[in-house]
Amino acid sequence: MRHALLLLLLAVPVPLAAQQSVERGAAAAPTVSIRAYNLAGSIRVIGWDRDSVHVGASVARGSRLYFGGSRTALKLGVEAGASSGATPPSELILHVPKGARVWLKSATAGADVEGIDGEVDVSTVSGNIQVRGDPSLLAAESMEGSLDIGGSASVLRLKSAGGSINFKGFAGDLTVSTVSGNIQLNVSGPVATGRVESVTGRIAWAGAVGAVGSLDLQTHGAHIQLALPRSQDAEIDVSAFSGKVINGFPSARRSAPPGKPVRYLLGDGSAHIAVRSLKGGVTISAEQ
Amino acid sequence: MTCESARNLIDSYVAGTLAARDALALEEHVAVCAECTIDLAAAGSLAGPVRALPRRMDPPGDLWPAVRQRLVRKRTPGWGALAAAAVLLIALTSVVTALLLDRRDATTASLASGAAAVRMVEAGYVEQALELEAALEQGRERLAPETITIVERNLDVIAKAIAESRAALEQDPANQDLRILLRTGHEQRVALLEQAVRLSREL
Repeated sequence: MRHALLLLLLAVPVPLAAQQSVERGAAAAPTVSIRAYNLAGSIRVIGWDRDSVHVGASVARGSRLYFGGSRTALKLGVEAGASSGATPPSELILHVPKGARVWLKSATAGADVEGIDGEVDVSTVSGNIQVRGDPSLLAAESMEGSLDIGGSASVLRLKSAGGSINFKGFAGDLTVSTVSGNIQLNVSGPVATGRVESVTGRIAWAGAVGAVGSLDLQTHGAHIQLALPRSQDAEIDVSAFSGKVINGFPSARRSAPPGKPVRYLLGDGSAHIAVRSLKGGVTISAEQ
Repeated sequence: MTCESARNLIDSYVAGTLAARDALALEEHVAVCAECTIDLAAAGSLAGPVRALPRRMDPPGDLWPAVRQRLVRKRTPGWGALAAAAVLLIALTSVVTALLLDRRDATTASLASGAAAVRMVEAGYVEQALELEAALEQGRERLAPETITIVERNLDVIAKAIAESRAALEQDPANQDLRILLRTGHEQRVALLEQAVRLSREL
């Protein structure tokens, strides 16, 4: 019986690379620039109303946390030990002043940012990115990870090759791009300039375009769904070379200008919207 | 950029002497202007034949004796002969002008062909992509195998899209939307390669 219990205890999995907890902190200016690296695991940044930076980390054994800089610029990250295998995962949680400029870089680590008013720049290889808040400028880029963004930004740059992109909120100037990932945008206010493109990913846009604004939706081989408010004034040029164009917008007036397969006019047509797909179809509808 | 300022830059662009910023501005204008597209295509395709022309052309050696012989024979032409010569000159000028214009139209039409349209859109991107591919190759060992797989998979998707857009533009070379689709495909390829090169340097 005693031997059986011992065998049972030995069979219980025990983490081989145990984690070590590390904490660091420093006084910081309200607009401090922070550069943080964590290749594997996760990295989370939270904006707070204090003039300091605090880092709580759970670092894989063999790796170390480095942290240094000044009140106006800090650099920190996890440095993996010298091993030939994959980087062991570490967890980083940063509390930083709300107005900070945050720059994050990871490989497989997911990145999660909330409550930052300053500029945010996040880049991963395959880690998913989530941002909540109102950064003045947001640039998020992943090779394969998905982007899930909520809030507002006067300038928004979102890019993923294979991952999907979801955005819900307001952006004045917006550029979104994927290769094969699907794109879903729910824009709460009129966009001034928007450019959305994919190669094989579906594009779904819901939201208004400003009175003299412009929106360009383009995909090579997927469907484009364009949903506009009923009050939208716009001229919409649609080029769907082999897909079907379905207009479900009740007040859209159709015309065929030279060189453009289909043009729809909504109201006085002050905004300009261009929709292109070589192989996919296009659906235009009024927002519910 | 206006059409007038674009046309002033076309020759330098074709000769490869235009500053990069001006070249970009010209490309952006041409992407949305059918007339300047045709002008650029015509200039681009004429550049080669023009460069191949001899810098100097001498008249045939036996031309002058024949001219002098005719001058001696009719040294004092009357008003009637002068009027006939004037009419002949006008007629000849008209014929030559018409031939030249006709030839220009035919040349322009043929130069705005599918292949020329594709070449114009792709100018610059192909070289840029090759340079980035070389840089990526140098940094390849610093990237994880999974990352390389991701990059290559997405480059394949883009390459297929570029091939299809190119084929469509060759069939319909005047279509601005097809030009934009092909251009975007190249921009995406370059952007993905830039991203991969950055990763190879930063991670």
